[in-house]
Amino acid sequence: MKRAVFVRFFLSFTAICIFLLTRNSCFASVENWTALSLEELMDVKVSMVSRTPKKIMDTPAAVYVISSEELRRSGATSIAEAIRFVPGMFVAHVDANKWAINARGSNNRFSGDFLVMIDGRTVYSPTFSGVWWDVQDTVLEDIDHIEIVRGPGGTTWGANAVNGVINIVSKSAYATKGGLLSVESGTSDGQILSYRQGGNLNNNGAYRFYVKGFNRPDFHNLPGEEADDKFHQRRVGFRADWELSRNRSMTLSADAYNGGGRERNRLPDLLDPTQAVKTGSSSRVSGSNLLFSLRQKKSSNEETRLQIYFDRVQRDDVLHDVAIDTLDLDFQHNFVPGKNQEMVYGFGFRSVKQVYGDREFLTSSDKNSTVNLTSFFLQDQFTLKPDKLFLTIGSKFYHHPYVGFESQPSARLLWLPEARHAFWTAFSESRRIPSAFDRSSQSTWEAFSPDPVTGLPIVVKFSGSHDCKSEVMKGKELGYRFIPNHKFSLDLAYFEHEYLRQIDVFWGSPVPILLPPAPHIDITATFKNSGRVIFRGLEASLKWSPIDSIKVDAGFTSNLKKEFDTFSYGNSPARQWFLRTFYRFHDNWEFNTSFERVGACFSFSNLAEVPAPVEIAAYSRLDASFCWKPKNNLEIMFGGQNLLEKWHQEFGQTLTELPTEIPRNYYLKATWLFK
Amino acid sequence: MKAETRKIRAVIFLLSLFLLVSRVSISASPLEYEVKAAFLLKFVEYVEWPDSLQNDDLSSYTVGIVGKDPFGTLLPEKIVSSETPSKTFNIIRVNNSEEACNCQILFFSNGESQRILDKVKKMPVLTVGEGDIFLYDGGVISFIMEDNRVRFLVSMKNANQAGLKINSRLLRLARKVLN
Repeated sequence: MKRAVFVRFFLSFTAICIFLLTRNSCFASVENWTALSLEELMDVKVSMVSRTPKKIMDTPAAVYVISSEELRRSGATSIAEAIRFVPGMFVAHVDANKWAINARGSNNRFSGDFLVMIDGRTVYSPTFSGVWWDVQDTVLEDIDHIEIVRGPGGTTWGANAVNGVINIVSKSAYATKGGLLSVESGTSDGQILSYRQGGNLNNNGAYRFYVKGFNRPDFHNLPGEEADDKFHQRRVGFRADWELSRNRSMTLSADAYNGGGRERNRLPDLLDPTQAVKTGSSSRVSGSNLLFSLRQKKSSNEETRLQIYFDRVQRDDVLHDVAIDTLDLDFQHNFVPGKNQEMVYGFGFRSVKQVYGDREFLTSSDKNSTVNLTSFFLQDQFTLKPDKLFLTIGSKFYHHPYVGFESQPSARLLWLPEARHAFWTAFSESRRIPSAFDRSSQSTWEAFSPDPVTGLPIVVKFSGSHDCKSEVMKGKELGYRFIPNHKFSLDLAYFEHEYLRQIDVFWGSPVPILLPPAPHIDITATFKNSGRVIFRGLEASLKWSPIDSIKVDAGFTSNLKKEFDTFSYGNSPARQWFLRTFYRFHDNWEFNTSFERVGACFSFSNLAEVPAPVEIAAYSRLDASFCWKPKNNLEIMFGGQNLLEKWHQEFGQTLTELPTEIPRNYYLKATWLFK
Repeated sequence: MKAETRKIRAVIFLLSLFLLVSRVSISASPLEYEVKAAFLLKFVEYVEWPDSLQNDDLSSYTVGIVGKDPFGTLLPEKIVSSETPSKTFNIIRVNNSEEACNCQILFFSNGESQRILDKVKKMPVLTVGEGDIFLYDGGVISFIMEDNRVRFLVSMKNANQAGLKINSRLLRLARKVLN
């Protein structure tokens, strides 16, 4: 009750502040600026926000961009937390080192339907289908922007971009010359240290290198549980950019990290399957990558890009003993083939070597395999009516040894009745290729209480199947944007996603195993394509900056399941919304707040002896921070996260891993820039 | 709890209503294109067109925008400057090369219409674009962004080709002058 009153107060206060501050408004005019001399004009510092809305205006998809400025002000300490306040995104912190992230549809720690790329390098894991969010990190100050495209992106991005794509784009080395040192300490976020140094290279190039480390303590335990989820990581990397000639540029970058942590799992005791054992265990993660890209701009509307990268990921914990090596080659060319047409096509080749070791509860029948994916895509934008009506059609075609030849077509229509309004609609088909887990895993992590007839406990063996085909999603989307000027934008998107051939379990017949030491009944559950689900929803985003020193950013998401005839591990809230405000005062002070309300969702019980869906309660979250810039090159930030509650739970059990509660966090951060 | 939720909803509703009806356009820190628009209108003071073109009206200029219009309401159809003698700018959106030939200034937004540029680059039209590539494509002046400030580059070769004389003050302020 108290919280609701606070929320109301918070909203009214924001509304009043905005009203008072905007009463003396006047229209912007170019006249204000022509009165200045050329020299004065050259010295005017402008905000760059115009670029993005303009570009977004012409995009027939649900796009949202987090700028580096928004990222800085958010006080986010990880990439996963940075996308929390994005309309349409479900970000649930499971424990100190795990996140469940998705948009549209069911959320889970292994949401296999969302593709994530860092500077063109995919970080989607083919093991479980999903993203290991704990190891996706960099110096956050060196991120240029994060682009989130919700909805099927398979046509250009390839398989597994069923519900969307996140592109994390880091700054060019030209933009990060000089040093940066950032030190942060939080009561529950622990210590984070980042150092970056950049400068010029011979031959008109630029470089930077960085070192980052963090140490996060245990979160808060759920009632009757133990929080044992601390987490640390160290990371180094570099990036170099060269302008080879006036229209050719080259990038070379690399990262390497290692770290580890603790987690608690709920596992059956195979000697006495009636008893589930909750144990703490250690995990170790490491990885490295090397990326090279070459871009050539032949004219203002023709560009080619070639990219090669190598990526290695290793993970060692109670369920996984995984080593994945990826070699990826990608070529893309966009050009204007004729009047009123813009074309882009690309080729890709990816070789993924997967090595799996056995674990007590999870083994693989393909211990050592190499999978080669070849792909091609073509997309053409036709101008049906200049400046008014555009049609984009295209498809990705690929060959993957698990599924053979497949295509992912899409058609998008953009209508600009006038410059400030945009309507778009899209029909697309995207696919998720079965993961190694879907195909070749053998797991025994579920045991049930005694069968009432025989009195014997039941042990479920989940078994992957080579018969698994790609999951298919047919998406229909409708969107509207209203961007009257750079100070206001409204973005609405409606979607209907029909998920077909969802990988589900097919229950086999019970087999009694009467041999000692533990007589029990075995049931084998085999993965099979069968499920069908429809999700419908609305995503709304509103950004308003009445004056330069105030920004208001609000988002609303609904995500409703129409049919539910499939078994799914995770779920997402039916509704959620957020409101953020950014306020700058006295030139060098900022006050930022973020409020979020997330509806209830279902998940698996981690407390009951028999796993059953339980409700994860709705929660409200308020973050606030003060930021002070005593000098041009020094910034001090003090803030709190989860201010409304001492702690709250955001997600349930994922596979066997137990969640913890997310505690309140007070932090102090200092960022220093130097030569 | 229900009543509270309803109240919150009411506040949000009012807030959004307020957002829609209020005049959301005040200027504290300018937008990139406000400054670019100002530059565009300022350039006429530093460029000399061949005499044949300026016989009838010395103080009236036609500014054409080629391709997607990034200025919107910043550049309305007609602008009369407040100084004396006043200058009149007629702003038109250009779709083809015939319309382009009637302009004294043409602005090409990023990556637009090489076709029109090719048509006008030997005519007395001040072509202004964005990014250094624009000068290699045949443009006279190009905006670049540096440290969130608008800067520009000038191609003397293309200016000569168009028969335009550029004032030395403008050249001095240019970030780079290509010969």
